[in-house]
Amino acid sequence: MNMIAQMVKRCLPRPCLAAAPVTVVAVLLACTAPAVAANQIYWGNLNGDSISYANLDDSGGGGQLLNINDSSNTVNYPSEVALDPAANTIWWANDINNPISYVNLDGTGNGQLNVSGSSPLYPDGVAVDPAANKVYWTNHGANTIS
Amino acid sequence: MTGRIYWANLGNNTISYANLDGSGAGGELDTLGATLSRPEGPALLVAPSGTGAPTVTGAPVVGSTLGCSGATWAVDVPEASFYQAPENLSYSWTLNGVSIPGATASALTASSPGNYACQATATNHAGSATQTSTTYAVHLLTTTTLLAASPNPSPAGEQVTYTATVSPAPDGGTVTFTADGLPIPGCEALGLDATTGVSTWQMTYGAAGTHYIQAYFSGDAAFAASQSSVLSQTVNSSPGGAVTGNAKPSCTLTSRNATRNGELSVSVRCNQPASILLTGRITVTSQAKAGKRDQPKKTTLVKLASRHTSVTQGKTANLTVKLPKSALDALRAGARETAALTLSVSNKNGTSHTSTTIKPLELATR
Repeated sequence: MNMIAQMVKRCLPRPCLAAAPVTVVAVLLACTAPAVAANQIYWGNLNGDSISYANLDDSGGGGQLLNINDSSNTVNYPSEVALDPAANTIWWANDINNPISYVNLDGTGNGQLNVSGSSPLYPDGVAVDPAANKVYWTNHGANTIS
Repeated sequence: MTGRIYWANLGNNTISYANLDGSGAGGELDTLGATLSRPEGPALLVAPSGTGAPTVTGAPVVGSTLGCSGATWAVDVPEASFYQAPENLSYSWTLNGVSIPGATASALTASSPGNYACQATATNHAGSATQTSTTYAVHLLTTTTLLAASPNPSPAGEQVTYTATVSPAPDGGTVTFTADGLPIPGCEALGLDATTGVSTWQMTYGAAGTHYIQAYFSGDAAFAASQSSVLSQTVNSSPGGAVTGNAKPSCTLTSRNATRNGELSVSVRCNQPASILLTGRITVTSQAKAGKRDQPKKTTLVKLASRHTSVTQGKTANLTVKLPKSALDALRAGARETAALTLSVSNKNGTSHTSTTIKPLELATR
């Protein structure tokens, strides 16, 4: 499956799968990282189940990297985000169903961290240590750091 | 302290900012197109920022491999949720300020002299930044040219070989020899052996004297030009005198028309020093004796040869050729003979021939 098809599948709200191509394009654009590089701010929407961004220069340019309707469905009450620009990745913790998730900053590829051996419980803020190849997060349900 | 601080407003679904230096200037970020639904914990991603320009490394001579290294970039500040590390690096090169097409690696082979500079560009999702090195001068590879002559000193008329050796052996260029400061026709822009860097030139001098020879290497795209020191070539007079001009030697051959105990004497006189070789044949024909019945003729060919002999210009050289005993006996028995001689004359200008038919031999012993 090529990249566009993957993104359409990932970004298209399920009720719209049979919609006209115009609808598909609109959703695709809304879910794709901006084509023109710019300094940006990223955040998680606790209630919106999405990861959003906007330009730092007050020019708008906002959009969503992922939302709950994505097929991977890994955005569930996200809160704080952390970046690993060298790996082109943004990380966050999902407060509800526990996994630690990521998506590439260019909107391609996403997934969940293998957390075997740890005990995430209502994870919250995340921090990335690329040099050590580790992701840390706080468990506000257990008052621990994993 | 300069800069801004950003925060997410969970209560009103906005992103706000204000100056870090306490001067206010706050506001709400334009987030048009983005979802804001109880946002939390924002993080900033900005384009890489250079903190140290790269430097060009490598030997500063043509043909060496140059490197572009040492560029440094601002690092992430995760405790401030501020990120700026490069995702990847790319490179480009200029030569004398002009971009080198296709030079996109961190290493480059310097194919020509000039001032090189490299540019390192760091890129992440937010943008890119480029840092440029200072220029790095690359020079042609220095060469040396040595000149030797063999033999030196040399006798007039003998070939002298001049050998110019350029080191290190260049991959191109030519060598020009000069004599007494002037180019020598036909000895300009001679090729070199690519392995040894050697170029040779031969010369035969006709007269004694001293010649001042020099070799010049032209240089090429990678190797610098160089010249030898002046070599003094001494040419001494040859024992037979000096060969002059380019004409072949000319000689006269004179037979004395006499034999003495079967010896044929001839004289040779030449206009130039030369090496001569006398050859010829005598045809001895038996005749019927007087008062006898005619008898069939009997012919005997006698070949003659003298050794190579050197002659001096303007002086007469006497040669003696001894007749074979069989020819001498035939002559004594009344045979008749015809004889022809050929003189071959050689020097550096070439070889010429002269022939003569000698009169009937007179045997002194008859």
